[in-house]
Amino acid sequence: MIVGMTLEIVPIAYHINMSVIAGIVLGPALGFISVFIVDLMIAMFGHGGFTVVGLNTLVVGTEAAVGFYFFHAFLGLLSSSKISAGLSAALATMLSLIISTSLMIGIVYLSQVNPEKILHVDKENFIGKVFSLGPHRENEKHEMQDNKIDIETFAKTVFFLGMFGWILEAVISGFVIRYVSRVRPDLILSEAT
Amino acid sequence: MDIGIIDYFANSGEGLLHRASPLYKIISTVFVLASIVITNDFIVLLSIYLMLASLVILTRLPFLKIISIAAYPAIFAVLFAISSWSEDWIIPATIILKALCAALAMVILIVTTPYPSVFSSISPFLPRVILEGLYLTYRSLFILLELMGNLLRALRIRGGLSPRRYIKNISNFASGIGLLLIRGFDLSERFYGVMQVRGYSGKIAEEERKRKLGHEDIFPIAVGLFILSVSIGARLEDDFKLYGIYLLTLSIVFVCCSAYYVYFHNSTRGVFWKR
Repeated sequence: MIVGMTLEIVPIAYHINMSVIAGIVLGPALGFISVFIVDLMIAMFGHGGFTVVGLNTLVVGTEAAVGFYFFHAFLGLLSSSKISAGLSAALATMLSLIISTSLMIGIVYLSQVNPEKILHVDKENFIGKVFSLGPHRENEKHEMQDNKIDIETFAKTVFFLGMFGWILEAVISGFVIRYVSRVRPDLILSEAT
Repeated sequence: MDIGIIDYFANSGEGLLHRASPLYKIISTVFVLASIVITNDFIVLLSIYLMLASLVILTRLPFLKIISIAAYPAIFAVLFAISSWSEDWIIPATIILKALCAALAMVILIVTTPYPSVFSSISPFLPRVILEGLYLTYRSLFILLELMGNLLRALRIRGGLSPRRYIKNISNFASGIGLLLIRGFDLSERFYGVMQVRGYSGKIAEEERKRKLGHEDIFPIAVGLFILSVSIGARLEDDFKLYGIYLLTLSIVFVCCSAYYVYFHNSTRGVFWKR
């Protein structure tokens, strides 16, 4: 996955994740662990946010885990076809990426819910003052909490830009799995996974 | 993402931060990250960024290279910034600056500390399987990167990546990735066999030796504490904003002093890493 991420497609600043391939090869549990390791490493390289390593793992790990189940479901449906492994991987990648992007948008939407209202943060004590998300100043105009992310614009932008990435990643994943299924079929169809 | 260069910087640098203990550098980075999380003030964030930039200068590594490595998350932050646009540039700029500050803090840690030292220092907080995974990933990464480089070169030489033949190019490229995947598996199986022969019993990670606070550790800890106290101050005190301009001036002075110390006072002029 890290090697794939170093290969940036320059015009659109996109790189392939290969998390679905990791999910297919390693299985959902080990796929999730490998995603965490990769996220932690690339965050240290400044390639991702260190404070959101957990959320990144959740989103990309879901991609790997869901991709594994989709792949095997499609493989069952398309078992008669000659290109079943490659096509199944491409379809699984496409669907997994749509799901993970939707999950990411959902997380961004949830992040706008004010935890103070849920957790009843005591703004009078020190910890409450430091970590509370509500504005402390009456005349504060630039507090970010007052500003809501326009989730519709965000979703449209992400889905529009993501679409190109999904297609590219689905095609590459399909070809990769097709190649692996011909050379080492035990890697993707083993009992262990 | 130039992993080879980052690793080279961490292992060969001779700056002030390179000499500090990994543990205290991690603590300092945690302080900086906490301060970035708790502050939403643009001036404070800009000051933090400038202070981090001055730390980059003090590492005596190529300044623009490190700043550009740490600028990558800004691409994603721009998406959030666009969605938060409301006739005011401050909020989008704050979002982007937060991403830049956090990434720069992490990059400073990683270009001044070899990876195994970072893993060792955080080992008490990680399960063994993750720790072993981090070590083995680090070990195999450079081998795989070299294989990938050779593979791409071979593809180009043999006409596997030709202009305007997009589908064929993708197919060839994907076959290359597939080959790399299989080679990676073979490599890991062989490595596991070698480790077992040599008595591997499920533990290869070496514990970092405990170190007392040395004089070279005081600087990163002091910077981290200063940044954290500024952020907490800005968060707690309404009047703090009045002094924001002084903080900004102080951080600019900090950058200038660092640049003077490294580029003029010291004859190396920031090219230590080339030796």
